[in-house]
Amino acid sequence: MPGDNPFLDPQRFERRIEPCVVVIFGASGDLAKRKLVPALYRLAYERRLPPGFAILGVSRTPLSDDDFRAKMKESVQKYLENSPFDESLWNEFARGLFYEAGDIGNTASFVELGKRLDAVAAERNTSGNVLFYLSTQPSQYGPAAAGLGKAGLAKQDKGWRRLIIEKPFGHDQQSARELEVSLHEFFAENQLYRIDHYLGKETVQNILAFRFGNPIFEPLWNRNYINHVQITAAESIGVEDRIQYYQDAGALRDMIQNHLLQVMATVTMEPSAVFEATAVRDERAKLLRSIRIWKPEEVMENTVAGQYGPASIAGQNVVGFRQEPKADPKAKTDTFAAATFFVENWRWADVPFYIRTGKRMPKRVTDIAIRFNSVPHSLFKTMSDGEQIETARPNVLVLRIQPEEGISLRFSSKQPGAGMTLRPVSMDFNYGSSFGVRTPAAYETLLLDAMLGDATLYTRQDMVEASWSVVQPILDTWAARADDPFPNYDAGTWGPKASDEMLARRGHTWRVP
Amino acid sequence: MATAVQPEKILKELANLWVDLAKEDSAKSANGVIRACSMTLLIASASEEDAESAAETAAELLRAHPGRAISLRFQTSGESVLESRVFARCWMPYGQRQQLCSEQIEISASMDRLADVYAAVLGITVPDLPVVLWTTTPSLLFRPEFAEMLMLARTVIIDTAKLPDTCLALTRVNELFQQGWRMKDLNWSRLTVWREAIAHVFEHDSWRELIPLIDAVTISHRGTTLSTDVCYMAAWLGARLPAAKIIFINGAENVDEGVQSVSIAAGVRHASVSSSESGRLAIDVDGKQHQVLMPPQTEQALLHEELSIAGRDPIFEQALTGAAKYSGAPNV
Ligand SMILES: NC(=O)c1ccc[n+]([C@@H]2O[C@H](COP(=O)([O-])OP(=O)(O)OC[C@H]3O[C@@H](n4cnc5c(N)ncnc54)[C@H](OP(=O)(O)O)[C@@H]3O)[C@@H](O)[C@H]2O)c1
Repeated sequence: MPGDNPFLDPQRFERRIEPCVVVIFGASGDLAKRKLVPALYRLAYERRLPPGFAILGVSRTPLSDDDFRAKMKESVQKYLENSPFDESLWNEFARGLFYEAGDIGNTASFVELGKRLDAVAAERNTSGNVLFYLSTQPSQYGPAAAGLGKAGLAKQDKGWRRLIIEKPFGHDQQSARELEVSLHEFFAENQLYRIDHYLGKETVQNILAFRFGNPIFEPLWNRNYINHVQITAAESIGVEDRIQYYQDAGALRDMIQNHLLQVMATVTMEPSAVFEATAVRDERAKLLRSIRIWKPEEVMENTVAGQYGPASIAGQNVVGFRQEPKADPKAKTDTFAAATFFVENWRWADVPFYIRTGKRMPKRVTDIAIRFNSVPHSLFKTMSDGEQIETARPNVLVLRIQPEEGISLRFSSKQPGAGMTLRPVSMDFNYGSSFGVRTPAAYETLLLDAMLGDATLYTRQDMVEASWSVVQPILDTWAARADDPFPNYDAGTWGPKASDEMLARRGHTWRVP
Repeated sequence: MATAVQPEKILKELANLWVDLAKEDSAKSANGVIRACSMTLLIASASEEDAESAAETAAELLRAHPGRAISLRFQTSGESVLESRVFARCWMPYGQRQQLCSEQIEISASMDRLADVYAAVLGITVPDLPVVLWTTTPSLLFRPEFAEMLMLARTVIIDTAKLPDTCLALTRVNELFQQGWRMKDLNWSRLTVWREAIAHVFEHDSWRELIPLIDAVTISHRGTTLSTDVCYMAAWLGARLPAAKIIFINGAENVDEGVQSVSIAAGVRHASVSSSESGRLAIDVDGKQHQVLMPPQTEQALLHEELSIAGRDPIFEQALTGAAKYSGAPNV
């Protein structure tokens, strides 16, 4: 074997993607048109795609290659974010777009797909490398993997074969295991790329840069200095057209089981020795396995389920979840979920991590607030109504994921004028606008990484299992409730009262993001 | 005409500027201006034309590399002058709601006032952040009185394509590098796309196996003497292909300066990369051809590439030290 390529210059050359075909199952669906194809087009715009590159769309709807190209052109023009559309580049890109009608439930479709793949590979010179993307309903992941496997399409004898799946990875612990068995029947773990688009967000990656690239914070990053952590992922919208899926899933499954536990792991994991897929994922997985699992009798005290009811928001009447079109009027869906977690290791023992997520909250925001301890001894008091009031407020470091990505630190400063009264001020770093350049969308980063074979930002099976172990007892206890507490918060508020009470039990309050 | 430039005054003007900007902006929107800084960029020019085009380039560049730009305009003849002005460049980044502003300071001075300029700049560079000196008029680097200005920066950017004498250019850049400056040459950045195409040829195992057997590399270029990029290319290839003889040939006259094609041969195996019309590179590996689009090679794009490399650049350093020996090499 010849050695490394001495001509490479990693400081200047982009990592190269080998020629390949991306097969999108569910090509006529929402995700493909809103996110996947625009992200791939954008990569072409950035000259990141190799000359031998193709997309082969698959779904049941019959479409010609040209129909598919026309549909995708329309969506790229519509959904391309922060980027111009270039007609001549599109024409070049569209030459690599193909479509094959096929049904995941039908074995013959995979045989046809194999033949079509060979033809596309020959036409585009892609030498057998294929990335399969399952952008279909989760119930089809198992059958699709099996169909590919039985048709011999998972074999890596002519080039690499990788499979991307979208969350949810199972509906509960049991189905997650079943899914794992069916995926692993034909695909090895290192061929599987489980997407968690939160991990692809530039600002989530920046958490690692912030923690492990700035030694001044690391000494403070533990139970000795941090009082508690609050993670909020709020949406102002309702369920929109995702009701079918959401009604069965709920907020705990939809957001906490995957994204927010991953974010928590990013904030709390130990530094890995190197920034490589296995090492980083080992640390993440280790952290997820260290989260205390609540016993059934502890669940209600440490978690809160909520569902929004009708309300008037800024003069507009908004329906409750049960009144949403196509919703079950007795649905027990949690549209809000909050939980207290503890990480059982030396660094984090006894530090509460409060996570909340919900729909129809006052605003769309995702952030992580790290609340440091109060001053050990107060010097700066002021008298009010015969009472001594401490004016130094605890420091809070906020890592903002969206929408205004950045970092801010609250600290106390002297109020101008006579006396020694302190007031909190915020020091702000705005990620996107500080650099004034476009940050890549999560799907661009993740697709690029999968084509490069870099799984650092992808979820591994042991992480999926560890998160289910944390979430399953909560789901079980909630499901076993005899009463019907819903709805228990008004649309447009920060969730049920019980959520405030959960924090109050430990002397804390939710901040207003 | 003002004859003094006081750092305190400039810094005060800057502070006022930010207050004004914030007021102006909050009148328009609730989002405020963002002040961002990652370096001080000193831009030294000795002609009005260089200074004007550099100011425009810097304004664009500061979007991706926010910082304080200090434009030094030296007048090599005429009366003794020293004056300054302060302004901000603001823009709305694509898809954002907040204005982003960068500060710019302009100092005009005659060469006899260099010592004063040095003192003034010393007082207005941003503390704790890197200082980069971009000499848009590269001949300044050869002027003894300019030596003091160099002391202000750790990194010096130059475009040796603007210098007529390759040998002198490489000698001076090497000298500064040996003395401890981190040197960057835009005529090296122009080669990135070429080097990337060549590196791609060696991604194939069969080509990497050939490395010890490659006996000839031919670089075709324009002109009767070798330009610095041709020398860099020769040094870069020479260091990686130990058995190869490097041959230079004169290419067509009607094309851009510099490298026109690179051919690599080992027995019957052959690969070449050559520039073709309409901004493409044509790549031929064992008779199989394809083309890649050349990225834009504007001054701004080249500077952006250089500024994106924060630390040392050993690959360039090696090419720089190796390039000198080719600067007097004969053409075939
Ligand atoms: N949309 C989003 O923003 C989003 C965000 C995060 C995760 N996800 C996940 O991404 C996946 C796809 O979501 P989506 O919103 O794109 O769903 P969707 O709009 O319902 O699309 C489903 C796609 O699957 C195809 N399909 C259905 N049955 C098929 C079969 N038997 N054989 C072949 N193709 C079949 C459909 O096309 P035909 O009817 O023509 O077959 C359609 O193209 C889901 O797992 C979802 O949970 C979506």
